[in-house]
Amino acid sequence: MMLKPLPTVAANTARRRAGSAVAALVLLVPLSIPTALSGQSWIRDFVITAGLTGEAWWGDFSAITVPQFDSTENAFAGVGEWSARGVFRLLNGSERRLEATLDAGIRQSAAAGFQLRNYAPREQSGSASMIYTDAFGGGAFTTEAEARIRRVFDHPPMPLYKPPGYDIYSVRARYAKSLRGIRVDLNVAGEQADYAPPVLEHLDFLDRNSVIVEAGGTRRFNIDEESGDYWGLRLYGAYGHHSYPRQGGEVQRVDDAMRLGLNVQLQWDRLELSATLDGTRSRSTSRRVEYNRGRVDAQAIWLLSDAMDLALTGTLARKRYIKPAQHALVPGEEADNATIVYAELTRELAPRVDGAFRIGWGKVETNFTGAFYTRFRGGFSLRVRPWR
Amino acid sequence: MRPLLFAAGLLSAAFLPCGLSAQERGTSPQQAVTDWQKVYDAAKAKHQADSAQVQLIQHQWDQLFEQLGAARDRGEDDEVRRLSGQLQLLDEEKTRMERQAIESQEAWIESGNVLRERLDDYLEVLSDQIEKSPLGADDEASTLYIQYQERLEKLEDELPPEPFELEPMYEVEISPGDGPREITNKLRLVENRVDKFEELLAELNRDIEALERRQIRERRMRDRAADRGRFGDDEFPTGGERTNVTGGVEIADTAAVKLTLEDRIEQKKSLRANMEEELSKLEEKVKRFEERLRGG
Repeated sequence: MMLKPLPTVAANTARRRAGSAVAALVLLVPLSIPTALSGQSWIRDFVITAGLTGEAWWGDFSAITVPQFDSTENAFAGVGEWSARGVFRLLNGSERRLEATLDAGIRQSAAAGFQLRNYAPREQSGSASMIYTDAFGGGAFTTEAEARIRRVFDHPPMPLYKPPGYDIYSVRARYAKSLRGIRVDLNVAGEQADYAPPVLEHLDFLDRNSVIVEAGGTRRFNIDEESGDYWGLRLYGAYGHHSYPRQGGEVQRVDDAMRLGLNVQLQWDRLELSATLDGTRSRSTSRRVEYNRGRVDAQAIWLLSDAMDLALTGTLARKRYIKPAQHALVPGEEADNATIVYAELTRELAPRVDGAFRIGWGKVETNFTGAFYTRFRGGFSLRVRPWR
Repeated sequence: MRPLLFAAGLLSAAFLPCGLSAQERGTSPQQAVTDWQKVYDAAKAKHQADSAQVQLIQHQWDQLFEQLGAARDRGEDDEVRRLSGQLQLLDEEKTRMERQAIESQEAWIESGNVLRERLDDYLEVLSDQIEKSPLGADDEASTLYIQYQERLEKLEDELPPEPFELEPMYEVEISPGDGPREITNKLRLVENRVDKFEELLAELNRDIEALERRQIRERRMRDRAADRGRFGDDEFPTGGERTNVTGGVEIADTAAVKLTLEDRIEQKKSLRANMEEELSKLEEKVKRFEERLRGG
């Protein structure tokens, strides 16, 4: 596989402008819809979050998309962040619903431990989505359009890994219907990911267009009708077609991925459990990037009291290339294995105010060179809901 | 290989259609509609008969109550005892019939929901037939589709919506000729209603608290997911699909468009406000009746 020549600055600028126009359109749509809602509140949920976190990073991992280099293998960062998220009801009938979700945040880090200089990465993030749900043919039809934007300024070298900036636009449609006690759903999604932050043209290698079709069946078993306790499982299969317009020489890189997964959920008394097993078989026009991948995501929430809960979250991801002898770093896919664990204790501090203490640990590594990075973070967040 | 086959077998078993009778498994979608239409019609007729019976008993009960008041006015103690006995017997019958009417309503709604699913299944079959045939080639399927679509719409109109209104109750007031006994009886009736309202209010409060606890839980889950996803804390460079493009599908008991938790809480709170207003009216009435009894 070869990498295509990088696009010109002018082409990039034009693409960015087009992306910004689409984002502005998605953001303006909610403003153009009447908000008279028969006496109901049009704000379904609104939360402002402020957080402080301390992070420690170590390791010798390299990422093609992080062109800054530093010889250190240990870095530290103090992180402050602000964000706001709102869910707004634009149409709320008994059988149809239109909701807009807006989310914006800024995160400023002060990093230390590098040999060259101290970095001060600033991340900006925003997303806007519109979801329309309608009853149709005894089931529910849902369509969604979403724009997500992320920017990273003063990107630090490894091992302080910051995911790159992007503009991602996606549309999804889903139809779900109950058939003989099984909820069947069919999903179709299209996504365009444009990794085009202001300065790092290397990231254009990650640009991706995807079409994904997913079908699933869900069965729910009530443990106790009165308390609402239940357990349930969802089995799903998906096909994804991903093209990378900036990767490949004469033959462009196009991946076809088959996914199979199982999600199991349990709600019992004060305990909620969710586990998802997901396996992917990815084949490509470039033999070098063909792999099989497995991932397990698990979450347990224990309600310690009406005001306090403890959430434990874990992710385990493993990837194996079909032709290991041809190993070389693939942009954006430099790692093979990842393990991430979080614990969060959330407590109601006052009406409409939650405090969350969080610690997390994660390790990401590659089989090829044995390179890795590890992150440890601990922090506190305040989540304030001005309206219930 | 064997453990894999075993796991696949278990999963297939879990996803086998449930709640099917042996006969139903072999029937065509159209036959299933016909069968369930019969079940639905019978359940609906049973509920209508039970409701009529409840109305009749309620009418008899009201008449007896009036007769009892009149007998008390006239000081006919024997008649009062006889009517009280009859009222007590009728009261038991009334309670039994009300319970029966609630049960038959549940059966009616349940059979209606199954019939709705069967109609949907058959409409899908017809829709497939129409789509696969050249334009105008399958007029019979098109006609059937319209007919069955109308049946589905009629069924959805017939089935009762979830009640969120207070049931109307007849007014109890002191009549000009009422003596202490009548007022005492009416006072007890109103006090009974106060007790019933307080009981319902307590139940409603428990429902609202449970829904609000669930709302807090669900919001916290969304908060956690949003906080980690916003700045890519869960993103790591292993490739594959970096984002869950098709989104998470909840494990729910139905695919229908359901009210949001916020809407359900709002509706229950609105019902609570109505009930509290009614309760305070009843409590005022109790005070007024007590004052009348004390000679105020």
